[in-house]
Amino acid sequence: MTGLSGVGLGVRWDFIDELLATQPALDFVEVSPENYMGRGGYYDEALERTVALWPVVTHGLTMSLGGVDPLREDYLTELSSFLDRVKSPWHSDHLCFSTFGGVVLHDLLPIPFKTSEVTRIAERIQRAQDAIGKPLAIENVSFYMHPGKSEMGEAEFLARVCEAADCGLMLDINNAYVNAVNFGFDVDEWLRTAPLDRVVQMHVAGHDWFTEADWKVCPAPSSTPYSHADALRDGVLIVDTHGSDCCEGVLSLLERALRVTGPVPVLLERDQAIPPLDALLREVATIKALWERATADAERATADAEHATRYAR
Amino acid sequence: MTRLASDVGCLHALLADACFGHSDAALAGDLGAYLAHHRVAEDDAAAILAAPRRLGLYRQLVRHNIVSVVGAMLERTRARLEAHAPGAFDRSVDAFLAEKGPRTPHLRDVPSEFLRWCAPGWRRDPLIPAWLADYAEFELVDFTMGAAPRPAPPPSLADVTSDRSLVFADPHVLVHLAWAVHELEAGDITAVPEVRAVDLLVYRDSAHCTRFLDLTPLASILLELLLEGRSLAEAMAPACARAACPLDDLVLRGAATLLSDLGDRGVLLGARAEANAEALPSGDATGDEESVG
Repeated sequence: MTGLSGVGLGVRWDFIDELLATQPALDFVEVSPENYMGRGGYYDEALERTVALWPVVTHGLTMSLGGVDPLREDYLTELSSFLDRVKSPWHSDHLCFSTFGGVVLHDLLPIPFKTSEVTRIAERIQRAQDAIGKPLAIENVSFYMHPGKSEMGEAEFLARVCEAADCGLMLDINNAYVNAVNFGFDVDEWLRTAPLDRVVQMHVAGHDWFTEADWKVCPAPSSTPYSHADALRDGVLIVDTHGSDCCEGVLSLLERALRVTGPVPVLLERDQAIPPLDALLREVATIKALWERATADAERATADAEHATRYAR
Repeated sequence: MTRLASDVGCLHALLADACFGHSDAALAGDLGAYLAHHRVAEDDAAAILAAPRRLGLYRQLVRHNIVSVVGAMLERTRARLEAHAPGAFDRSVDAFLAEKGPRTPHLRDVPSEFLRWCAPGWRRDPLIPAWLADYAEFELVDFTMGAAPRPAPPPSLADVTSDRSLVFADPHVLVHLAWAVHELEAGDITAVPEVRAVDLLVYRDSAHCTRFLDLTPLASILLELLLEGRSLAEAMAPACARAACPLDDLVLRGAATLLSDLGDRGVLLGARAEANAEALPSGDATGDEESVG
């Protein structure tokens, strides 16, 4: 499914000019088709130049795979053409809903993890995958409430949906971390349940802490470990803003995930409080060093396991 | 409690209403009653009530995305409306979200949807300056022209002659306004524009910048006919008739100057090489856009 490897950067208009001018060595870049589809002019030309410089993978925002509205055929047709244009090896979108009654909410709304939803959503994923003509991967989203009674955990729901749809997983490490802190579950147990054998790509990003009383940004807790109980006591929660550097907890979780998955490509997302490009590239380099260390360990572990298996026969 | 046929659909409806509806008071008040009003099943309601403030968080997050893009692309409109009717712009956005909502998957197109929906109301509302909708259209077209789809390759071109239809570079649009909003100084948000019919040719230049060309009434009518695919010979007489001016040497020289200027700007590419009848757009008759299913 993949020709991509290493660590990439999500392209944003805030720095696309500098990116194209300096042409840093990136393993790949990611773009959101919604920002370019049906669009000409300056950014369309910038996209052309981007495609010529780096391998491009696409990540969508509005497919509404968990929605109850019909999938938008016009959107899927246009998306299919776009994916061909940028030669994306796969396309990812979120396991959430973003439309209802024809209204597009332009955000990632949570879905309840109900048994009856597995098949319905898997069928939508298969239809979307057929329409775009590329492998489709679904991303675990950050969510801040259970919008209805959940009949299983998120990781199990992801596993069941991926299995039923036979699709890939875009594993968002930050989202798993955010949800684990906000809901107080063991993120390593979550990783053991999630379908890591289906991971085609990972996302990492930063987040911010907010007060629950008035939804204002507040400092990240200084004490570690900081538990769900601590957050409840302090009336704070994490919001997935993509507005700060990746925290140590997210990078550590990324390393643990990569040791299991092996060398899948990892992408740094940054959408708010975007620092100068050289700072972003330093963060990419940090993640790349982590990626090389973890994937080397993963390959060694695989080789050791094969060696042990051979001699056990 | 009555369950809907689709509990998940019911839950999605709830979240959509919580985010876009007039639900502020309900979310801050008796949330249980709000969930019951939406016929949310008891076990689902219990899950939502476990974190009662989080629907409000989603309302804030979702609206932030929409309000930000509308406010950014209509920034000057918002400032001018605030100067005349404080709060009116935000109330219009609230009403749009609650009563219509975005239909486009492209966030960049939401301000256009918003303006299409609210401009008629603005024009009727005595508390809102009569010229504001024109101003908003003028402000927004700057962005929409810059982002308009990439043009298809032009047809085969020939030298411009009076009997051939002309080929113009895409994208372009003729904008007709009742107020001279384009003459307002950007920094003077209390200024009121002159009441004057304005015809603007808006186009994107080779550097991807949006350009505005203020046309005389006759030039506007002539250009409209030329853009429809008529040749210069076919367009001159009806244009003069509509503008109530004689078709004389002065007008002919003016037309030549206009076309020369448009050529210099890269808007007029040349004339169609093929015959006129074949050159006219045929999209309306093909049925290609008919929806199916």
